[in-house]
Amino acid sequence: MFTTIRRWAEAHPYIFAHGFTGLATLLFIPGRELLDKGHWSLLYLLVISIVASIAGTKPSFVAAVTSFLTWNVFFLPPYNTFRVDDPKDWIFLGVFLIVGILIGLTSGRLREREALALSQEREMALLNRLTGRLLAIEGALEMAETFCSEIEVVFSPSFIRFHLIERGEKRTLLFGEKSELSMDPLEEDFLEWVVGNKRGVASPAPDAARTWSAGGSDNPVPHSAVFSAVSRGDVFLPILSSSGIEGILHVGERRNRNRYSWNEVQLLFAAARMAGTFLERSRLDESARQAETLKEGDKLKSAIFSSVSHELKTPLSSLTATISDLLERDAAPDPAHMRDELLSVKKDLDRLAHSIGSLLELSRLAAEAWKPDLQWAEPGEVLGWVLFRLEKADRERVEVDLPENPPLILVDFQQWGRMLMHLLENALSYSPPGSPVVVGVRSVDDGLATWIADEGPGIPDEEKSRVFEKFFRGAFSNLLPGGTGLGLPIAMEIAHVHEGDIRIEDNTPSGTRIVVLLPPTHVMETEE
Amino acid sequence: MAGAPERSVRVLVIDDEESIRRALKSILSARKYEVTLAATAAEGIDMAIETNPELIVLDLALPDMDGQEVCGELRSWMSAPILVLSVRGNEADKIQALDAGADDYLTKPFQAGELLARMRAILRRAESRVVPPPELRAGELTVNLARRQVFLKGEEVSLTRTEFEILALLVQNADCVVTYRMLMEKLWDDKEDRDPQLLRVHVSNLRKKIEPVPSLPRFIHTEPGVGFRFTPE
Repeated sequence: MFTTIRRWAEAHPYIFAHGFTGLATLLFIPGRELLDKGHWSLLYLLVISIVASIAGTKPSFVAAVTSFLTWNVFFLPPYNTFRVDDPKDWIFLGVFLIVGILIGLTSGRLREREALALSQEREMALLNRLTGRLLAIEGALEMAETFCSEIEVVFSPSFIRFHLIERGEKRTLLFGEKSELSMDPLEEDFLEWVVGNKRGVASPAPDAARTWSAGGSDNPVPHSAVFSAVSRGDVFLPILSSSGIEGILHVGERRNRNRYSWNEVQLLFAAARMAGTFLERSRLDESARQAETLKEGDKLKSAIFSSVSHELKTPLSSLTATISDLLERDAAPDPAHMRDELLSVKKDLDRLAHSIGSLLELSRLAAEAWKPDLQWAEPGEVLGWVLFRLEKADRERVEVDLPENPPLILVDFQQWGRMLMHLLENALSYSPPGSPVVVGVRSVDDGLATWIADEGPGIPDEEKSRVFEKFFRGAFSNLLPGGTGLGLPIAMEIAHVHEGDIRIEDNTPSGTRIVVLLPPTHVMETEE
Repeated sequence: MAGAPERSVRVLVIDDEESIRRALKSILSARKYEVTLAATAAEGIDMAIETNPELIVLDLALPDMDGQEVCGELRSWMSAPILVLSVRGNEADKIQALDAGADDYLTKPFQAGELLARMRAILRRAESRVVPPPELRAGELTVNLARRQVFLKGEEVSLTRTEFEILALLVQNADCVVTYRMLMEKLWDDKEDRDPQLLRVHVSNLRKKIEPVPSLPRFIHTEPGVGFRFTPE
């Protein structure tokens, strides 16, 4: 109630000054005889103070003059005339007018200072909040959203349009009422003018009729006379950064139709500048990131190149050597020797096929050329498929530890199988011939764990995090000369596609234990 | 020599890669197969008419025709089994070819032993189409097709009608892939009823009854995206 009156008084200060004094007089008159005329003058001073504190200096002068007159007419004898019988009362009247004006002046000034302090505080708070929030934000869209929500809280405009200019193209984001979605046809020209001149347009109160452009401009503002957005007091501000214009901030008129003050326009301008700096910074960050990615990409490419050429050339050269040797001999080699040679040829070819297969698989995964075809499957079904594909001697080394009723898993059958295949092949190759490799499945708190444990030399702690890097070959890589260093990255890639993860642990008493985690969303317990 | 059929079998190889044709010719000729080679689909179909082969090895990536088209074309007038060769990753092509009438597939690169085993399996299947064997043994599992009885370790296992139908079809095609579609067509006459998910449930139940370790299937393997394969070894 009080706030409503106060708002109304602020909007109509002179009516309030007259009205309040009049109302006080009407209340005072019935009690005219109860107090002395001097006391009534004090009560009128109180009225002037209230008007001053609510409506400001100038209205308080009005209240002072009105009070002076009404006090004279209604409280100084003879009543209801301007005449004053007692000449001493003229001194009273004179002093009353001066004190009234002084009160108005002082409390008005106080009030203005308070308002200024308040608005400065609000500005500081807004800018502070913006700085804090912008630090935690990355994308332009998110920034615009945060930015507009802050402006919304402080200024309560009917809408905000945030025009982002990205690589010469404009993207418009709207916050606020739907009815404002349609743009004024004149607005395009107008926005172009703002971009071209890097100047803002606002018509701050109280000079409502005049268009203001920051810093003044030689170019006339187009349509300023007819453009309703300007005449109703919208604010258009360029979002500037050190490298130019990043966009335009169009803050619609206030919901209560009050115009923005000069200070508020300045505050909006400072905030827009901050947004501009943010946009510039994030653009620079982005290009730095891209440069970094390119550099990383180059590094990876050269690593791939050297590894690929090594992986492909080694078996090729040994193949060439073996076969040309066989061809160039004068006498045909004896069958036993021939068989040995052919066995080594086959080994080289297997190695080549394996390397090429891994490279193709990885490039397919990296190119995201496949989407997982997720289906519910039994863990043992996948495992059976994998074991079936192993060489018989390898298969016999694998011990399987499955619960009686394992849960169903939501996986891309082939990809999940390939992942297990890579992990199993790794475990089989890095552990002593004939030693067992155990594959197990069990439900854990965060989903389903599939583990593969071998009795090999284990992976040193400092290498545990690096084995998933492409082409990383660990300390014991000499145990597996045909390895490409791609098996684990491929496995990790597949686990990630399933929102899962792969952990490396030490096996007891020796060896490595690889644990693949599948999240609960991909696991379904079965009945029984 | 290992892998040789008991009698000479006529095989037609259709592959556009010269090196593959040469390798297949050498592998198969050494095992007493009578090999005819064709480099294109058109040539392959002509050769098939001319030589009436008992088995066809068909590469899916031919320059003049789609693999599944060739399958359909051959299937329209001949019953000889077709073994399809494909590159890894082309699951869709594989399934289309199998549905168009191919009998099994082999992924390139392949080992000679694998190729010969697949060929033997589909030849055996072709023969058993004429005279189905009354009983099949796979380790501890015995399936009597005529009496519709199944024994595991000598004890009779009780299967539902659907489970038995699935097992029978898998066993009759031992070592060969049986596609979801083949199974569903046999189980459910009405197309509306054909539900791959339901089929998987039946297979899962069947595994629980006949597999020594149901959670790790030994007999009935899943061929992801394609179907199932019964391996008696």
